[in-house]
Amino acid sequence: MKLRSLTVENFRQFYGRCSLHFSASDEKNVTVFYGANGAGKTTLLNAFTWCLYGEFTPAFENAAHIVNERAWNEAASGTEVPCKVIAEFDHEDRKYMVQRNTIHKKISSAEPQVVRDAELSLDITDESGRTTRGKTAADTINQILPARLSNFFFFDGERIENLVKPDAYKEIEDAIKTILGLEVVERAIKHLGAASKKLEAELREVATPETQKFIDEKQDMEKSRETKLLDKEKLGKNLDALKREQELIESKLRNLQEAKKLQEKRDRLVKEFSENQESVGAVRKEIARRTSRQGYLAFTKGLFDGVISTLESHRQKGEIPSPMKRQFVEDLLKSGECICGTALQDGSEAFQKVKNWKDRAGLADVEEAWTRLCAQAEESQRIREELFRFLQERGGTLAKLTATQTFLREQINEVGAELGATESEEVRKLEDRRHTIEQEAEDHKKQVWGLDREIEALGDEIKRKENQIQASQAQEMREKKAKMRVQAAKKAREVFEQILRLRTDDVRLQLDERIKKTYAKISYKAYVPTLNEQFHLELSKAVGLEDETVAKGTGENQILSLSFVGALADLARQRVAEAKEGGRSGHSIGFQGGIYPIVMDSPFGSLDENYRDQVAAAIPLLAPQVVVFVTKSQGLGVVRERFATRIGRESVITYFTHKSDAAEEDIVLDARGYPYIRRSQNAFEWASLTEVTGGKR
Amino acid sequence: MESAEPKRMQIEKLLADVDEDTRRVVIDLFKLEQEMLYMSQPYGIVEDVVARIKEIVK
Repeated sequence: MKLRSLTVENFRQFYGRCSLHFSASDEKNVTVFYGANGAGKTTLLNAFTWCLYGEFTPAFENAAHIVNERAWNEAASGTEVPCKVIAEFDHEDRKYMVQRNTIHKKISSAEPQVVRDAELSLDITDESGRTTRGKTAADTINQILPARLSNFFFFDGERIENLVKPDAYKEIEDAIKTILGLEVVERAIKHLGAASKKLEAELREVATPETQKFIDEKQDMEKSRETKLLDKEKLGKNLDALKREQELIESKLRNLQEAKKLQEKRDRLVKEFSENQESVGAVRKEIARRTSRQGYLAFTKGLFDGVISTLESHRQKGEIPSPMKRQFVEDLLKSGECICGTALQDGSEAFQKVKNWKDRAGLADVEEAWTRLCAQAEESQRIREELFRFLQERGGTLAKLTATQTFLREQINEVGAELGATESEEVRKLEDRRHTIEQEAEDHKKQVWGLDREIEALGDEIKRKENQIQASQAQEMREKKAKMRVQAAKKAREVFEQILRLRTDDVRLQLDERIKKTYAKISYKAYVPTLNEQFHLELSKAVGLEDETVAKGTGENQILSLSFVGALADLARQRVAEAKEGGRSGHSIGFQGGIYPIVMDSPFGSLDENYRDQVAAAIPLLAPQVVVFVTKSQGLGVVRERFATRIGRESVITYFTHKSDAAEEDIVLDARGYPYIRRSQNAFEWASLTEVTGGKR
Repeated sequence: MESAEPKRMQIEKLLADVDEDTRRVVIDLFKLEQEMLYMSQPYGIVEDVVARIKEIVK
C-alpha cells in the first residue's frame, strides 16, 4: 500500500477542498506536514482513519461534528453541505480510490438533516487502466490492511508510548494474531464452539434419556465456566487499573519533598522483596524438580541395607563369588581329565567328586546380576543420603529467605505507616489511597486465584461429562452418528487451539527479535527490549550476570513503541513474501501481509533533543513510506536535519485563527517563508495547505 | 531466538496424529473461515460449519 493523495472537503478545519500529496519515492520516503497546534494535524490523521475504516483515534475530540463550521454557516437553508475524504493509494499493481461521504442538509430547525451518513465507495483501476466500482468496499480495505492492524500504521505519536502500558497488551496480542493470519484460527475456534452446541442440540433430540441428562449437565457447567471466565477478565482489567494508579501515586510521592526519601526507601525494599520472592520461587522449583525425580528414594528406608547385608552374608559363606564357574566344571567332565591330571571316567570316584562341584558352582549371569545389584544398592543409598542432605540444606535456605521476607514486609509496612503519619496532608492522603489500592489488589488476586481453581475444576468436570456422554451406550445409528459429529467438532477445536498457541508464540518470538534489532539501532542506551509471553513490552539492562527490568521514561517508551511498530511493519512485509511462496502448511491461510506506510501525528511530542534526534533518525527506516505531522518547534532543527536526505515532499498547514489579537507567524524552510499562522478574515477558524517547493524536494 | 521451524513441524505432526475425520474438518474449516474472513455479513457461518461437519462425518 503506497499512499498517493488525500483530499478533504469541508472536513473539520478544512474549508472547501484541500489535497495532500505524498512522496512515493523509495529513497526520499518521508513526507512532512508542518502545522501549529490546532491547525489540523490530528484532523488529517483522522481523515485517513475515517475514510478507510469510519473510525477516529481517541485524541479526536467532538467526533460527531465533522462538517466544517464555515461551510455550514455559509450554506443557505435547504442546501446540502458535503463533507468528504478521498484517499488514493496503490496496492499490488492496482490503483484504489476510497471515498467516504457525509451530506448534511440545512433545514430551518436547529438539527441538520442527514442525507448521507459516512457512505463508503471504492474504485479500483487495474493494470490495463480499467476502473470498476468495488462491491464490498469495507471488506476489500480490510483485506488490504485489516482494521485491527491500522492503529499501528496510522497513529497519534504522543500516545504511541501507551503501547508499552497494560491497556495495550490485548491490542498487541490481537495485532500479532492478525499479522500471521491467526484471525482465521480464532474464528474457527469460536465458530466450532457454536457449531458444537448446535450439534449437541441435535444429539439431544435423538439421544437416550441418560445421554440427554449428561448433555444438560455439561451445558450448565459450560455456562458457569463462561461466567467465571468473564468475571476473571473483569478482575484482570481492574487489577491493571489499580496497578497503574498505584504507580502514579508512588511517582507523585517520589516528587514530593516530604515523601521522597521514604518512597525511595520503599522502592528499594520492594525491589529487595521481589528479588527475595524470586529466590524463594527458584529454590521451591529446585526442590520440586529434585523431589519429582528422586523423591521415591525417601520410601526405600532399609531396602538397600537389606540388599547389601544379604549379599555380604552370601559372600562371607563363600557362596558369592563362587570359587568356580559351572561351565568350567562341565568342560572338565567333558574333556575326561581334571586340572590335576586325574582321569575323569564316568562312574569313577574322581568323576563323582568333580561332578559334585557342579551344583556348588555359580552361574555367571546370576553372579553378575548380584554384583550389579550390589553396586546399584550402594549407589542408590548414596543418592538417597545426598537427597536428604540437599533437602535439609535447601530447607534451611528457604527458612532464611522466608525470614528475610517477613522482615522486609515489616519494613515496607513501617515505611507505609511513617508516610501515613507525616505532617503533610497531601502525602497522608496519597498514602491512604495507596494502602487501599494495595488491599483491593490483594483481594482481587485472591478472587482471581479462586476463580482459576473453579474454572480448572469445571474444565475437568466438563471433560468427565463429555466422556460420560461418549461412553453412554448408543443404541441407534443416528445417535452414534450425532456423537461422532460432536466429537469431530470438539477435536477440531482442540487442534485449532493448539495451532493458535503454537503460531502465536512463533510470531511473538519473530517480533521480539525484530524489536531488539530496531531498538538497538535507535537507542543509545544499552537496554534490551523484550516482548514477553504475556505480550508486555519490557526493557531490561544487564546488572552483573543478571538482567534487571528498568523503569521506562517517556523517551524510552516512545522508542520502544516505535521499535514495535517498525517490527510489525517488517513482519507484515515478510508475510507478503511468505504468502507468495505459499503452499506451506499453516502459512498460506488468512491475512497475506502487506507493505504499508506509517502515518504519525506528532511523533516527537515532548521529547528532549537527544531523544528527538534518535527518533528522527529511526523514523525513515520504519517503513517504505512515512508521513509525519509536526509543529514548527518539533519539526525544525535537529529533526529536519536528520530527515534531510529522506524528505520527498513537504507541506505547510496554514492556520487561520479567529482571535483578532493573535500574532501572525511564518515558517522558514530553505530560506523561504510560508504562512504558518494567520488571522482569519471572518468569524471562523480554518486551515489551508501549501506545498513547499524546491529545497529538500 | 528459538527457531520457528520446530513449531511448524509440531503443527504438521498435530495434524498427522489426529483421525481422518478431524483432519478433514480442520482443513475444510481453514478454507471456509478464510473465505468468510473479510465478509461483512457474518450470519449463517455457524450453520455452514455444522453443514460441513455433517458432510464429512457421514
